[in-house]
Amino acid sequence: MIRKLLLLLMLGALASCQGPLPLMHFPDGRAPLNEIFSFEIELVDGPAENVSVDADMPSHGHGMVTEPVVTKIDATHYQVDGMMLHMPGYWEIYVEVTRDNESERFMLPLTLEAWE
Amino acid sequence: MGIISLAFGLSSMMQLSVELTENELRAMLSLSPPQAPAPRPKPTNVFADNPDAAKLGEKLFFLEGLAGEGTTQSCASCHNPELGWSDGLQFAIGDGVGTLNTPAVRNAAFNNFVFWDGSADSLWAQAAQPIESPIEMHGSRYGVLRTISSDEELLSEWQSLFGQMPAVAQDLTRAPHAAPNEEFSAGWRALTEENRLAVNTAFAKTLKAIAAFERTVVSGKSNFDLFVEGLRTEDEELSKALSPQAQRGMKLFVGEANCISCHFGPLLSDGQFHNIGLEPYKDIPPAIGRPGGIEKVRLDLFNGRNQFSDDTSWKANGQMLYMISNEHTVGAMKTPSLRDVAATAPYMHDGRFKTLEEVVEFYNLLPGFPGVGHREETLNRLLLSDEQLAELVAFIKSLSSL
Repeated sequence: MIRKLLLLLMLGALASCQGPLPLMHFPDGRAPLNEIFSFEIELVDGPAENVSVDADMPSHGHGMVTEPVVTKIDATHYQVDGMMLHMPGYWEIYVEVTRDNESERFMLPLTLEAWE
Repeated sequence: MGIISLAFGLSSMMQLSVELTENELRAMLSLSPPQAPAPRPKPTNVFADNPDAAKLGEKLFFLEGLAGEGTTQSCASCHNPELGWSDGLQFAIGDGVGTLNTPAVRNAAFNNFVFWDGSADSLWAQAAQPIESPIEMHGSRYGVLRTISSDEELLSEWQSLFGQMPAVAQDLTRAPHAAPNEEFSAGWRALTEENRLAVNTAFAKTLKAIAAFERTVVSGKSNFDLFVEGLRTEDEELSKALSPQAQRGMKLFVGEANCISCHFGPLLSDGQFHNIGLEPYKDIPPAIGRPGGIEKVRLDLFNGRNQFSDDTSWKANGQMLYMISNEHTVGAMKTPSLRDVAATAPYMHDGRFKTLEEVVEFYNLLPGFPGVGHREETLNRLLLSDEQLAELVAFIKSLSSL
């Protein structure tokens, strides 16, 4: 279970849609480097049919070495397990939310440093 | 001589041979934390940190003929402490010749996955494979138990740790080897189902003792660590432990050359798998790397999820649950730790480079294309001068245990 939520990060600085943005709750307020971690997604604009998560390092041309699993907690909260951002550098975390057979994709940019 | 303000845990002003940016300084400190890391707990092996198990494991590690009648090798035959816990050879040579360079045992306990392709998820699961490989120790799990049973002292230590050795292991009327493989299948088929389970269980315990010993084989302090300690403690003498050349190499390592992208943390390794784009080597088929490792580890009888593990939960085996193969992992091999790497020549998964100089020269120019998959796009030609390459090597050599 995710530890106490210390920081809420608003998604969607570069979101591909205009809808209300989901929140990501990271354990300890940050995504760790090179460790499997879990986080929680909160859909602030109501329930969805499906939520999926992925992440890439665009400048490296690759994504994660794990495949995260998304589990519904309740109508507006989802648990994401199996995340691992294995290299330092610039990452983009993608959250895709499907409602009424239409998907919206949100992106969270973040940079991990080798000394974190 | 540049002078830098040592913030971030350091309070003094020290004389260095290089000027470091704030990020380079943080990166340097992260490579040598105040407390040396210990291998993480390994819940799949309840004996992992048991000193008695480590003591028995050490004896087994160095025991020639461990794998049973007719075998002559020990684990140390290929993991020789005098040769950096490797063998100094391009390819491992046991009862045959392999196509992979022998990884060092030192610091292997820090890895989530063992072998170049990560085809074992623990040290104890790893130890099973060379014992039964026809080109390595060429014995069997049953042969190992027979070897232990035939030595009164070993048997006594084994039983005091693990309980009664299965009676079948002491039955000299049986064939000396039994394993679920082609060569020793006759002996295996001759065992009852109950006895097979007893043999596998006892073998797994034996492997866990070997792993307990291997967990104690870790790097000691290096000149680089003394240097960093000197900066932290304002000890002028200690801060001289790193030569000016190595200091310049360190700056390149964490900065311009960006080696730290994969060689980060106190072990100077991410423990992950990368295709660095080595060209095909002679007539050896290019290794598939990580995808093959994932397939093998999922099927491994001794992986952390199987019945011989002491904790089969997903919590204890998280990376097994979420790991994936894709086009980016084809040809990917594990990033080795750079601690004590100067002692483990030759280099790369196929031992193609005889020296560290050849290794950094490869990263400098990145010649050719890989035989399988694609080179990780993280890598760009460094295009450093010969002097800078020598500085990088000097830094890497400063990571050797004193």
